[in-house]
Amino acid sequence: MSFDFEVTFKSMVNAAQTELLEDTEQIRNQMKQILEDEKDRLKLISAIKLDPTATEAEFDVALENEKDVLENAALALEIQVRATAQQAINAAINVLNTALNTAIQAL
Amino acid sequence: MRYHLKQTTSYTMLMLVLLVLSSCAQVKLVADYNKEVLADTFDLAKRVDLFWANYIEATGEDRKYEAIKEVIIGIEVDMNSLLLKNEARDENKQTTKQVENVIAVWNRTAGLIKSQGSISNTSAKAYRLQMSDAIKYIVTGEEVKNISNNTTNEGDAP
Repeated sequence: MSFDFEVTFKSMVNAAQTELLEDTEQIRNQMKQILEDEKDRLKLISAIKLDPTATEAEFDVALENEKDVLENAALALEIQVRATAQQAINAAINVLNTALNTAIQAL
Repeated sequence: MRYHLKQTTSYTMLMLVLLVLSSCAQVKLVADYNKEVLADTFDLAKRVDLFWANYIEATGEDRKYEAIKEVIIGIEVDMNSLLLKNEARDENKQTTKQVENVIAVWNRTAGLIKSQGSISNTSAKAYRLQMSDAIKYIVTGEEVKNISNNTTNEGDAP
């Protein structure tokens, strides 16, 4: 009968870390894209202020809209982080599952 | 001998309990990927973008709220339908909030066109990009769920 919890636990941590490393780059790229998008939108919002045919209310609405758009960007990041955590935790659980199955088959 | 047997039985029981627990304990922090909702989101993005493209090209009376009222209401109905579909999904708080934000941006913008009669093209271009990005972030989040569920819940995606 061979089931060493310490060894299994190390494998669980490794499996979780592998998942986390894979997704870190993705999160970084997503953040970079969000900042690029923000730059493009701010250019257009500034143009409203400079356009004499646009009203003050149009500029105010653009600013209010921007808060909601930015919140959507933050929520997309949150989903990415939660999905990464889900993958890491489940990868660790899968390792435990495999180790236990192997040990039980050996009984 | 009897002691050894008892110890082995206890150990086996413990491992069986652990096995049952680990087999059931798949953690779920995001909703399952839903291809149909993603397709609806793409359709909405297309309709909204078409609205703004037409608005920017329109002149005179065609820019007035009365001329575009039906299209505005139609898009609002589609948005509310997308909200309902997202609300019905488990672990989907973030995407539901994203759709609520898109509706808020749309209503605020449409309300301004209604109260002013029309808006400038400079503002229309800014609002077009804001709407497009707000919906894009919903798509980004949904696609992440696909990748996640491919690994953890294979076969769950519809």
